[in-house]
Amino acid sequence: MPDEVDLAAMARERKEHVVGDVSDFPAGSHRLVTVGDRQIGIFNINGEFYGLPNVCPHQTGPLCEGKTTTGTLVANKEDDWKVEWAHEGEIIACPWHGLEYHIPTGRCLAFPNINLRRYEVVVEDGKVKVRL
Amino acid sequence: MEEFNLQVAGELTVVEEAAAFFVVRAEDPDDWLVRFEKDPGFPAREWAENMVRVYNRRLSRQSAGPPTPPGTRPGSYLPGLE
Repeated sequence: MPDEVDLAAMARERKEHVVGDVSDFPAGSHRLVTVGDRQIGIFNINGEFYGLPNVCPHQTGPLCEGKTTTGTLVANKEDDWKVEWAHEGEIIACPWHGLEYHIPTGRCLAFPNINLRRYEVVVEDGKVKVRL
Repeated sequence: MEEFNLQVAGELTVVEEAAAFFVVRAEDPDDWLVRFEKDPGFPAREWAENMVRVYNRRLSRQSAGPPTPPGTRPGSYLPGLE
């Protein structure tokens, strides 16, 4: 049987916060919402929703206030290091100093050891909800 | 809802686990924001501690900015080399 700490954690995991209507988040857009004690950037990338904390690990800039998302150049050994444009619409750069992050994974492009928390975002009955 | 001016209400702190350092809300250490994976070639502790130091200073003094002025590119992104 779970102890009190486990029950509290489970209850917290199930808590949902409505942050808007689906129409508030058109595909290709993102916006900032406040949930409890933190700001979260909500991204709609081709109909998939993602949530990231609005804080850059570099110098704590407002990461999700970056105006646009973009892609990035990638090269892999398997493709003989051929450079290709990839992840279009999946990259956000911090407006303060330009450090870039892959939104679906939360991973920093320049420093892959840095990973942002990814908040669970779901769409139910036309509402966008964040689960904390 | 609590009013706050910065991105997260309350101070941040660092929690160390076996594989990574986490930056978390001091009031609720289970509520993490960033994970810094430990790796011999990556100063994870320094990154985490620098993030906490900068954020908490901004929180305590609303006029405090980051070490590198926003809108400029730092000479290095590594902590302590800004």
